Amino acid sequence: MPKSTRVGEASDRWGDFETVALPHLESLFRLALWLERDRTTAEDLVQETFAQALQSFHRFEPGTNCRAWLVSILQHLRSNRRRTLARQPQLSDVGDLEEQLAETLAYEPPTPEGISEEEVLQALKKLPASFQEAIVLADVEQFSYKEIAEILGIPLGTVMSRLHRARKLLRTELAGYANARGIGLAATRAVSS
Amino acid sequence: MECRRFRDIADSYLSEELLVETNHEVLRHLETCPVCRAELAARRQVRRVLRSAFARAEELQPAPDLADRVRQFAQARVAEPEPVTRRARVLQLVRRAAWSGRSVSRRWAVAAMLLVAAGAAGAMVSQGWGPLSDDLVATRSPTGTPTGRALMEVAPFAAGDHRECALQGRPESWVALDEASRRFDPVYAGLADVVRRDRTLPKRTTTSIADVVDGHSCVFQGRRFGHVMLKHAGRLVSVLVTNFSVTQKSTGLARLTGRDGSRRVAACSHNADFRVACFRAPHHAVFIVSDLGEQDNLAIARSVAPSLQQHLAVLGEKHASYGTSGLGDLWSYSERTTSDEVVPAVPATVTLRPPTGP
Repeated sequence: MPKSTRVGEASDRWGDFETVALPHLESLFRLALWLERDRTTAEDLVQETFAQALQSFHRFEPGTNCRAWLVSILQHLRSNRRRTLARQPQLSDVGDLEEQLAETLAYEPPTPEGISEEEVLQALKKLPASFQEAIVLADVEQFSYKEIAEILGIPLGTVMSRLHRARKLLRTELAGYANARGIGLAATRAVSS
Repeated sequence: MECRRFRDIADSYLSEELLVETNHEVLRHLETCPVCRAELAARRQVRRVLRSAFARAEELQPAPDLADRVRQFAQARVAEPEPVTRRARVLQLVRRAAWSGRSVSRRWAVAAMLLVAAGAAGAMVSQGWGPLSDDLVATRSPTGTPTGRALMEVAPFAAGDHRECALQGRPESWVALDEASRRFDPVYAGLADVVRRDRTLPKRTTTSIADVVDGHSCVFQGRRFGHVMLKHAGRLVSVLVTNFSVTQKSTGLARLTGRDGSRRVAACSHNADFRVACFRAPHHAVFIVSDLGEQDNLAIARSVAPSLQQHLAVLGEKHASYGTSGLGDLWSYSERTTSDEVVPAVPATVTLRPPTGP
């Protein structure tokens, strides 16, 4: 193949990549930072994610969700990294934990109103890592349940049950903040009005 | 629909994950139930606050230069040809990971070292870049001259120091540059700052040196270096300054000297593990060692050469104990020794010691 053609292709590929993929850099970094809790690790992960994405950009189908594709790569790198560092896999204890939570959270707390950004983040931080991951992917990144299942490599049913419990636990935490500050609960206000 | 059932599926409703029929049931229930309407509004608000918190939280904002770094890193990666063998691919992955970040570097470095120790080295594929300026690649190898041959003899020491000190973190006799400048060689003073001044590569290359990572003096198999480490395209690059001189009058030095008298950068890679580029300065030789492509490595050497040559010309002249005092092409091959350090003569062939452990 003539060199100029290869250069042209590379230039086109970079142009498309810059338009389609790079705009997601900031949200991908925030996701990585939230999940890893370490800025250097998050930067490394994002850097490697985009390098791998550019290398295999020809496999990306235009029109599909590029952010989901990037997050899949990020998640894959995170899994590899965890395995490599021989850390205790964070998801291994989720089964037991979820069962415990399911038992202790039979009561469904009403959702408080007037919660601040800081309080939401503080409440989220108190959740188990796998629950945070599910909530961030669903409610912040707004991926569909099916996309989350593909990103995390778990069955759709597991995504749904994990999210259900994670959100319930988050509401419980938020209700604690609301009680402490005397913020009204949505249901209570609706009844009184 | 009961309120209890609604609360169970309210989040799926907000995420638009319900079947059409269930959706209709939810809507019908909401028309008649103010409590569930309020609950739904509150949950929607929590999501909104969460998204906005993520977008605005100071602690979650990326560094201003992250986008540029990602661009450079990704482009540099694409410029590399794919490794042709499985072993080469494994090595490349390990090396990439080894220097991708401080948090994983040590463990990865151990992994890389074990792989190398297992005899996996040597399979790296030479990585080429795009075209560079002609003068940069004019001198491919300095072996045709006595000076060149002497440089080639020192090159394995530089490569060995890069491997032992930079990649494996096991330098012999690590000394801070300032202290080393007092004890061994005044040119080591401020060496890192001199290299830091020249971080920009020639215009035709697509990236620049990211940062000076470290500066110190260390020893490999008896030869002392002033060692400045750079991080470039996610790889570690060593700039190694060492005493260097030859006694015999060279007849072929023109090949290493440009028309303007400046000493040229030459490639002196001696095996497949590392690319080594070198250039002379008064009483010293400078080696640039990395596992980047040959062109890339040469480009870095070229970029740091002017200020280093100037620095070595100024401070090297203060070095009183040389056999000659920097008289053009007349060089003394005897190494400078100090009272507390004896530097052996350079052997004709150098056998690099295999790594023995972390």
